[in-house]
Amino acid sequence: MKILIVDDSMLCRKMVKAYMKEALPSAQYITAANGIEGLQLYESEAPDFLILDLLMPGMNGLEMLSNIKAQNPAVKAMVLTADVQKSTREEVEQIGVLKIFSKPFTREHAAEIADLITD
Amino acid sequence: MFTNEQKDALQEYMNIFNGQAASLLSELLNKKIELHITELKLFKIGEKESAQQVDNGFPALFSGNIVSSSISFGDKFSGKAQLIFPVETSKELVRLCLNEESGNEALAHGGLTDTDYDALKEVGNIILNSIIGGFGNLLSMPLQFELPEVNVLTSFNPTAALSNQEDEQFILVFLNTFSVQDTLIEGAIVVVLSINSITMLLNKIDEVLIEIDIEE
Repeated sequence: MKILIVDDSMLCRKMVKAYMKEALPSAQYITAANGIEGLQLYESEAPDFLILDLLMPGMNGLEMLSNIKAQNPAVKAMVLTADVQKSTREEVEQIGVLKIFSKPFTREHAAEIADLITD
Repeated sequence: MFTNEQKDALQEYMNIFNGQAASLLSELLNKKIELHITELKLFKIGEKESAQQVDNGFPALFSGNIVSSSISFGDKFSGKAQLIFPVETSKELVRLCLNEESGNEALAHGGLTDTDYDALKEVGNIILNSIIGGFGNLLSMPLQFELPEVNVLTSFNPTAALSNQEDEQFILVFLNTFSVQDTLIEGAIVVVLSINSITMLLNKIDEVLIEIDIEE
């Protein structure tokens, strides 16, 4: 199983990868620092799941996800964001994701993602 | 003093605290807030620098008069947090808070009415409490807050925010832009920390970085 992590913060990418490796050591993790790089990696690596941030320079998470959804409406994505507004949550839910998590990322989030993925 | 990883981590934590502030502000305004990319700048003020040198070396944050809403906090982790906006931007923000059409009357205090002051005090309280409270949560430490103060200044003077009791202090400038409906709001959050406080913050960030120290 391959999981693509997309976040412009190095701290966040490392944190997600470290905690996910503890929760789901069998998966392979790849990372991207923005939406454009994430989209390129999605196309070249065909990951099974995406964990992505929303606010990123260049191409943001919503734009990246919309692009991917246009190619593959069944893509399985989870959003990790510091923007905890209800309206943002509703906007993301409309595009269609498995789950939205509020930052900071925690081990509890990682365990929940592992459960979601392996169910 | 800061490594790239420490700066990235500090910026990410500030983004998280800012996101929480935006959510609360969105509830107050009953409007969606569109967050934009932020920028964090760090300045060390040494004991040998004069106030004049510091002020001359500090970038001009905004031109014209600015409104500053500030809260001092302490005690082990102590400093002063300021939210600053150009006066015109602060009036737009007040208009959005009060759900008013643009063009309301400009009165005393650099064009701000008492109602404007009150609204800006509330906005400052929400945003700065999220930032200071975020630091407290990160450090697992309760922080004492003072009441917010709102002032109109002719320009931002960093040395005015410094404490005279400290020889060396750090200034964190978090440039923060967001949109409410079609109105662009440009502001900055300026946090002045003592050498002890910045050391505590960096030690905590290092703990986190060590815990997740893996190759990407």
